[in-house]
Amino acid sequence: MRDIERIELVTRNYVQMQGLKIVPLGLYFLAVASGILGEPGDCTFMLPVLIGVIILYRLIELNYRRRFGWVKQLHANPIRDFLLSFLVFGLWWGAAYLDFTLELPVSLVGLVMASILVVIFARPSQRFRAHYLVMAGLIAIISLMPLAGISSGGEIIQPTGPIFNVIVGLILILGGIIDHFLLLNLLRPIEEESHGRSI
Amino acid sequence: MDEVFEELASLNRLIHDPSRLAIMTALSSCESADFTFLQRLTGLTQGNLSGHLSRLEEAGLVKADKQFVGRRPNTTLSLTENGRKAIEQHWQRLERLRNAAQKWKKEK
Repeated sequence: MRDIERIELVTRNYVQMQGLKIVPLGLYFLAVASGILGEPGDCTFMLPVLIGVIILYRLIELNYRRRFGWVKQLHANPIRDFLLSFLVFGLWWGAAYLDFTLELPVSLVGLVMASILVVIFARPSQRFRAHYLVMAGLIAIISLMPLAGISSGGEIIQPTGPIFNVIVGLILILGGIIDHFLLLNLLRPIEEESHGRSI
Repeated sequence: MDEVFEELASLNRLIHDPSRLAIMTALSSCESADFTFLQRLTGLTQGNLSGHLSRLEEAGLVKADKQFVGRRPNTTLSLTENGRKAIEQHWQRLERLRNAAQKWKKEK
């Protein structure tokens, strides 16, 4: 029965578990934070590197396909996914704008980030990704730290600040690597011809 | 108790084989998947997996679509309408059997 649960879990979530695909994007955020790509707003290096990130994403996707195969998910709905991404993007930028203009005592953008991770984890099909909940908790604590007088308002996670980029970068990298290892752990090594079946 | 034995007797033997049950369950959890994925998921050898898939295809439960991706041959597999119904009914039967067995255990 457990094996059947494993089979359903991997098949339903195979695309989301291909975590290494988002690691280059995480590295991009860390590179932005370190300043090696220039000042914020300077697109000389940022744009070509971002294109490189997209190419790497596609190459890693092809590698997953070659090594572990390919699945077309049930009820795949690209329009719904696009609208959801658009909504998340809108919320993110809305929070960033409010952080800038209102100089709030907490980081709204950090709280939005934490909420997105909680919403991902709250979906019944995503309950195995407990690491998202841990990351959400950490970001929420950092975002609310100014309230405890640990830092002055909004300084910790400013939308253009290096700490913001470091946090986003680390979430993407750690989340991606953990998802990848979860996938490896749930897949089976192929048995030798002489051993016969493994199930 | 008779109905339990009737239920047992009516189990689809073709699907009830552990490897084929795993393949059918995987395919019922997606629209389609390729051969490599099923192999990594089940751990079956290429020969074993091919054999099981052929039997399921012959029974009209699985549909195989063979094509080339670049220079590599690639087989995409999906459940037919009958296959989807069959695996659904099979799991419902197993669930009924489980409930009946639990009830029987309590009565004893």
